[in-house]
Amino acid sequence: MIRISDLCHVYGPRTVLDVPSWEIADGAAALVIGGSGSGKSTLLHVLAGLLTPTRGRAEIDGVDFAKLKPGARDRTRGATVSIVFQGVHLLPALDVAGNLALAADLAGTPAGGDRVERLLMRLGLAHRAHAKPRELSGGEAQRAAIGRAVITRPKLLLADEPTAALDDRNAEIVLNLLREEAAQVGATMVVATHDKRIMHAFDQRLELETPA
Amino acid sequence: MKTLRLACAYLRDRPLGAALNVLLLALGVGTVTALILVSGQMQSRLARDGAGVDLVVGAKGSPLQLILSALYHVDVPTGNVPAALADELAADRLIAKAMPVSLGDSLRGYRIVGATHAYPLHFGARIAAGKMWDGPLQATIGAVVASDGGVALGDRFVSSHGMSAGGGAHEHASFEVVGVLEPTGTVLDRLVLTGLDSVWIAHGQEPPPVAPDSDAVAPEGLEVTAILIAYRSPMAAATVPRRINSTSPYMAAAPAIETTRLLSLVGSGLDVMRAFAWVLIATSGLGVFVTLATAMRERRADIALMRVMGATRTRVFAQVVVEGLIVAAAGAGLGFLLGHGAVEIFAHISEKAGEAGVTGFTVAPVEAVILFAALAVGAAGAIAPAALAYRVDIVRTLSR
Repeated sequence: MIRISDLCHVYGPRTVLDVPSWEIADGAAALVIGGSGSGKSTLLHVLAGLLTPTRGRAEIDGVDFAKLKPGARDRTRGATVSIVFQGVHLLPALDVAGNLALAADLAGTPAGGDRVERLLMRLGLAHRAHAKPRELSGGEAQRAAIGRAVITRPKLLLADEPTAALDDRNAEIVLNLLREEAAQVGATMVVATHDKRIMHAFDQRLELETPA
Repeated sequence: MKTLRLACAYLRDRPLGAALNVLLLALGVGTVTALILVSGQMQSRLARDGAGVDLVVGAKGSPLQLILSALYHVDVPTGNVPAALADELAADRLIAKAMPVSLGDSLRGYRIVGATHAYPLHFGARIAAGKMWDGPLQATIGAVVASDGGVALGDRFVSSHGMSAGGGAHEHASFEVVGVLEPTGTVLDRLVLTGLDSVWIAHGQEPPPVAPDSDAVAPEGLEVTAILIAYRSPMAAATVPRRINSTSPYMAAAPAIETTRLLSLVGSGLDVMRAFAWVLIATSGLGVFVTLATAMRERRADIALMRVMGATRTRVFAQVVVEGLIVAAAGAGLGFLLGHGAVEIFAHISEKAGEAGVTGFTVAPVEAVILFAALAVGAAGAIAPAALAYRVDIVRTLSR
């Protein structure tokens, strides 16, 4: 269960995020929409424990990242939350399989056996397991990034504009993958986007307004 | 995935920078290692070859030359002294041993030394085959002469005049090899030992027979090259050299003083080279710093991503330090091999180094300090870049 209450974040004189309350049930797929500067990414950063809000609480299964010490916050984030970014984020020094293995290791769930291979097969990337990120196409890289996010079996899967840079076909593929993989690992999914093509596919939605 | 594997992956991803740093460090470590090996082995060889000899008495000239020729057998003698002087010194109550040696001839580059049995016994020589010489024109050869000199027990040879190969042969005096010594790890291994009378015979003189195990060696009118002396008491050091140098036409030189002077002369050159090598090592630390600091600018997003995936600040700090340590370890390891390899090659191509028993197949305890210093340099070079990684602002970096 994700529970947000009276959440507010301020940069200088500007309020960039204001969410009075929001709850997302376990395993649900939720959408955060809003224009540029409405605080979509800020909300995801708060949910991931990357940013401590100026006020209010955001809890994942009762855990408020803001209340944890830095080291514990990092470890808890690794074990419970994964993020897929718009700009693909993979470590360029590692191949695709290495990126997935590293994510699992950092999350404290080392990818033993053939977990990486099976996931890459589901993602249609088995043949690219040993390719470096720079050798991947845009679609392959985004699928690899999804693999990197779900290999840890997170409780919460966050995606920040995951389809914004993709064409219709790849946007559909990525969205379906996100939903399937989140369902596969039982993760709650929160997607922040202003991409109208994918707005139909979610159970819940939170609309953020750009502050005046 | 473990820190070490990820660090290796990043180093493989930019091989040129990593290889240059490894090479720079290897050159520094290799140079220091080689200098330590060579100087250490030379010093220990000098100590072994001079063990128990407190004074060398010979013709006036350079004291260092007298020591180098009569004790270490690497220079030409300063001249000769009367053989009777050996008896005179042996009778001194402050002197325990007075061992005359006669030099001047060689066999295929190995020096022939005329002496009494007291000389090889002083160095703990033991017979491996045959016997000690006990008659005129008999020779007992050192272990290296036997293995590398092309002469064996029972062979006959004529000596060449001079200390190196190519001198005129003393055709009228044919020596017989009657014994081979066991290896001693001293200069004895590279010598051909014979009686004092054999050297006189080879030079056309007709001395009365001298018993090789006799202390009285001094037929009138005959000469030896030098006399090696062991004191009976430390008191002798204060009086014997001064007495000889001030009241006789001969020269007394103390090996301890002369070798210290020699090492200080050579040592200043070694110090310059050693300092240069340490500069190389320090420069490689700077190289590690520049390479990693530059990489950190390019890798901010990677570091931020690792933090997003659950890596703590300490983990990313350690990640960068490990990269520096890997470079340092590789450089130190390569430098170790380079240093030892260079010394071994030097020992093969340099006759003098070979004669001195220099080898690359030995490890000096102080090398552990060098390896530790190299690792410390690598770690120090990585500290500042690691601090950059530690301080990466995740949100700001990911928002770019």
